[in-house]
Amino acid sequence: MNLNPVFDKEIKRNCRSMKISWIVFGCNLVLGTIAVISFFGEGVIHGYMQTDRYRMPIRCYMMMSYALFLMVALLIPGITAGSISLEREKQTLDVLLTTNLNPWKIITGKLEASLSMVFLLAVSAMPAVALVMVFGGVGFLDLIALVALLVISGIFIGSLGILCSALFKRTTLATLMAYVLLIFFVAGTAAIVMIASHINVLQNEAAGLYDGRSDIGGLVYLLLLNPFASFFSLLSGQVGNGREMLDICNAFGDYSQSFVVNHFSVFAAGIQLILSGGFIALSGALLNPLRKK
Amino acid sequence: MLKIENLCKRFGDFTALDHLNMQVDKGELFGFVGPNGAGKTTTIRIISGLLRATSGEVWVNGMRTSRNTKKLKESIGYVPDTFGVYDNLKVSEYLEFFAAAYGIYGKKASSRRDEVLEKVGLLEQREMMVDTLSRGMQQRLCLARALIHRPELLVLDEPGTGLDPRTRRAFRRTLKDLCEEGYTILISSHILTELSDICTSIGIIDMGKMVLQGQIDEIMLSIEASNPLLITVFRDTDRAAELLRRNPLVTRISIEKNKIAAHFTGSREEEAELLRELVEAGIPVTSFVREQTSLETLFFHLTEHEQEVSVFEFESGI
Ligand SMILES: Nc1ncnc2c1ncn2[C@@H]1O[C@H](COP(=O)(O)OP(=O)(O)OP(=O)(O)O)[C@@H](O)[C@H]1O
Ligand SMILES: [Mg+2]
Repeated sequence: MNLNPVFDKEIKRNCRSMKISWIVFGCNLVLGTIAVISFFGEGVIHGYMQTDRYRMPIRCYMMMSYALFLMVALLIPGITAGSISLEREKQTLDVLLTTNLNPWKIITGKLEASLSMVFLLAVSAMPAVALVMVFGGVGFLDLIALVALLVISGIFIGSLGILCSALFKRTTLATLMAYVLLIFFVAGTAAIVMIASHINVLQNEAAGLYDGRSDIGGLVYLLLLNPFASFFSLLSGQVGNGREMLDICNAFGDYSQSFVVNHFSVFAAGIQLILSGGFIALSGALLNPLRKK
Repeated sequence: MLKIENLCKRFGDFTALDHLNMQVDKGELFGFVGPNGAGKTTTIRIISGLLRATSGEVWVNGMRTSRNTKKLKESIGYVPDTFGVYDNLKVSEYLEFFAAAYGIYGKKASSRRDEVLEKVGLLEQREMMVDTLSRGMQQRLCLARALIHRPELLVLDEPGTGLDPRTRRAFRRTLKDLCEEGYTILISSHILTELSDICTSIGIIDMGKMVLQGQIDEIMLSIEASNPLLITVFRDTDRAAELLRRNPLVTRISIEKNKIAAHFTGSREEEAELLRELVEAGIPVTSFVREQTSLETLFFHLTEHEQEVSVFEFESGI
């Protein structure tokens, strides 16, 4: 099995790039600070006799997980949005396209390279997370699930970035659009659900119902496109009561019996992966110089 | 090796290539010449599979470019007119990357890498970062890259731009060597003289059409034949003109003082015979030469547009 050449090349370049080194260093610094504060800081503040001290490692795990997600969400669009457009701007894309590498290989290579960043960050958080395991509260399978979902979010956000990169000629515009689209998927979907619910309540009031409850039906499934929602749902299952996502959904109707909502993170991850496949296929088509207009 | 039939390319309303026909045989070093905007880059990008033709066919090695793209890419090495290189990558890694892009890995890749580096004379720079190489070195590296998968056809788009005369000459030398090794090469340029000493054939393109194509020595010969003989005599101009007029191979003569220009359709040998006749008739001939038209003049002649004329007509039509 040979590595994807594009992946291999990107990794070689990234390893030498000071920018990437600084980013990884900065992220590790943040993760380390979180670990140190939660292990020592809380002890100092609350004293070691505090009754909820057993929650401390779990809170550390939670904070680190959200920090990792935030880093993925902030870094991946920036990295992937330049993947195609930078090759275009540096005039290296044409040559790449005349080789035996088809657009699909080029795009997956770029995506793999950006995912290696996610892995690097996740791995660098492992020592601290492993400590959490020692203290108990989080199991090994939880850890696997966390990394898997981080990678899936990385694929989703990364393929979104690559699509922008293939779509827009200029890297600056591609980067801007990548973040705008990510914000749409994270905040936009939530906003649509809330606005729909508000309208529903108003309609109910107009019809004489004043219970303040809304029912927006299937629209709540829009949240499956939200990478933060899937992550939140997973963590809720791991370190919360596991009902948080259901409670949120139930604010917009009754979903207690909904199979999808009860297995939210799995379905969300699946749908986001399918969508990623679509983004990648579309980027590949955009990259093909002989495509019919 | 390469055959282009009725190739057309339109960008919106603009016709960049207008039923272009072209043929390059195996082992040829083909000079593809034309002024700016003639359509050279467009043609080359279509051959390399970077641009879709509006109509017409391109055949490489008996294969249609619109089909079997993969096999085609393996037969073509493409050097673009402008290109960039990656940062943070060594020369050797750069070539290994492209080897891998053609599915060549491991030992085979490293031997290929050294082979092409040797060919372009960059073996000593293999540990340097590609973006720190000089422009000339990058150009050579780009050629090395195009050779890494041993394509049968090399397509180079104005590879001389930005190089000093010495480097240009060295680059041409490399191309000639490659041609002797058996590569078929298509090289575009807007400087004809630069190509005429290395190419075996040339094609002149203008406004998307091929205006002249053929083996370079044949073209030179046909140009020669159409040029007049320039004869300068010390005196007896009239007698010399009389003698020339009587020669059946002379079609037209014009006289200016002691200089005679005679259109002569004979061969080299008959040319010598004519000179002997003149001398034997006692005419003091001081010089006897074919007018030298370079390819360059021909090029200018062929690529002259009616633009000036139309401007004139426009102005006079007020
Ligand atoms: N993408 C495009 N869109 C519109 N017109 C184009 C495009 N590419 C090329 N052209 C036009 O096609 C014509 C031929 O261009 P081309 O680049 O092939 O010329 P060239 O012979 O390579 O010239 P040069 O010697 O300057 O490189 C030009 O008039 C150019 O403006
Ligand atoms: Mg050009």
